[in-house]
Amino acid sequence: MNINTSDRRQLEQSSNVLLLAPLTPTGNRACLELLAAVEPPARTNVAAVTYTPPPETWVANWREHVGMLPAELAFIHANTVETRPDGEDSLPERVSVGRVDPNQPMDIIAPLSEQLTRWQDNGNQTVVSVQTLTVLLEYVDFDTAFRYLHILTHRVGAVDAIGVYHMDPDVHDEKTINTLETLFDAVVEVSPDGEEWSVTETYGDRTATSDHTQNHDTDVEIDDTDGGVFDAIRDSLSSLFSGGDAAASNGENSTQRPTTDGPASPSDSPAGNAVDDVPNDAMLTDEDRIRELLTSYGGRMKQTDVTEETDWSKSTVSRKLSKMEDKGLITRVQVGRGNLVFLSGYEPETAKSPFETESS
Amino acid sequence: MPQQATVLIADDERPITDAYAQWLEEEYAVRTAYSGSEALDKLDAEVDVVLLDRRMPDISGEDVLDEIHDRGLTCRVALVSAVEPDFDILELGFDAYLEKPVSNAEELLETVETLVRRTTYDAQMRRFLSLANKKAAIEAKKAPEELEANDEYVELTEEIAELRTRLSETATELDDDDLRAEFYDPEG
Repeated sequence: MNINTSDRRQLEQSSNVLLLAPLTPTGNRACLELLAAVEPPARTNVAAVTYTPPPETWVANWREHVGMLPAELAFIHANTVETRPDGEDSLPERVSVGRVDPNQPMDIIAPLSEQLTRWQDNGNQTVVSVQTLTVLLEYVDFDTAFRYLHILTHRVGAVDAIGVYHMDPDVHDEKTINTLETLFDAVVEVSPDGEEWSVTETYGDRTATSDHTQNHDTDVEIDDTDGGVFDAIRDSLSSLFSGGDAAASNGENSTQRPTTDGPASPSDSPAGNAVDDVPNDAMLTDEDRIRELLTSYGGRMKQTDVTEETDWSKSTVSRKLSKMEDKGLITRVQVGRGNLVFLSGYEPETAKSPFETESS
Repeated sequence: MPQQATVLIADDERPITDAYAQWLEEEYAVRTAYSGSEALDKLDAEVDVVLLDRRMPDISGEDVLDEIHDRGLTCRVALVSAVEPDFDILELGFDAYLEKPVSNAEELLETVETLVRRTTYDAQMRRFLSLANKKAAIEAKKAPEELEANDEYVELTEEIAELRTRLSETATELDDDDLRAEFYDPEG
């Protein structure tokens, strides 16, 4: 994009978006669709900072919900455990993956900055995602997370990139979310069913296109779940994301359905299996069922979501999970207002251990 | 910078202390101390950067550093020593190391500048976080309509927006070494 310096400065002020969406397949999808809404993938570089689901899962989900992979794709996977889910294709060669220690903010900031600089002149729009702040807050204390996110948002803004930071509003108290909001230019909130999106500018009078001075909500409600929501949200976001680039109004390119994409057909993508398929399968034990649920959620989910998805009682779920935890199949972590359940190998494993670093 | 940063120089060798002071006083408010105990007397919240000689007869540089931490002071500290330490400076709680004698004004100025940059960011960040917390607390108590009529809230919002811009300018100057120090976790 060719933009002059004053536009550039404007963009720096409006490039980081806090995405409040549940830690569910719907919420994960919302995050990907939001990333894809910035520019068509063919003209996008995506740097994904991921904490829980491995890059292979991310790619499978992107292929399912968005279609064509971005022109450039790099992962900074903040999880030191090697996890490759069975049955998923390995990553295309051009996709780069760096594995870093989630406890060390600089391990993420430094390689991310390098990546952003490398892409700066390749002609594409760069987009950064952090998935998710909810899990990030398990690794570092709030003050560190706040400073870390400030530096991230600053570096994203400095290269005219767009940042999307996913967080589950249910897990954290209101004050935590409101405090974090000050770091972002806009907050996008997605309802649990994924049907309703609202956009709030954090600093109401900051964007060039804004003609109002106070915070202003744009509610987007659409009954058609098949793509329409995301087209609409993109329209309402286009004023934030671009200085009026023509691509913003061109809906087709960025929301290609999975059928248009080559090798990955929906049936051989386990992460894409609809959750409701699971109960009908008589071969599954309860533990298998929970594990499949967890996989479809991206390796982590709220305990209350397990209850909701299975129709088991709270105490039944709690009992089953605690058995699975004893067997080392899962880990439960108390986060904010409830428990997060992590599939074994996906959990924030070193979060609370102070005597870990020997490698300095 | 709106206000001159304050640098405290502590070294029991007077000529050295005075030479450093001379190099720095054009750009900074300088305080000098010729012993560890004098350094402690001249330390307060105003001090942004301390150049600390490691070996002083009464109280050592390390002990002054401990006292700085005990008092909860937020200044950044450079250790000045004739022997290059064989440990990680950050692990000891220092932010920088200068090999003694520092014969080059340029080198001294550069180190002080780096540390001032870090304290400036720290101070702005702390303020920003505390304002953000305050704003969030008000938001949790009041309905959205009430907020716009609340003078304190409106002022707070403006101050946060203004500080955010300044913070962004400060952050532009930070390099990866600065950030490594910023995120250094003493319990890590």
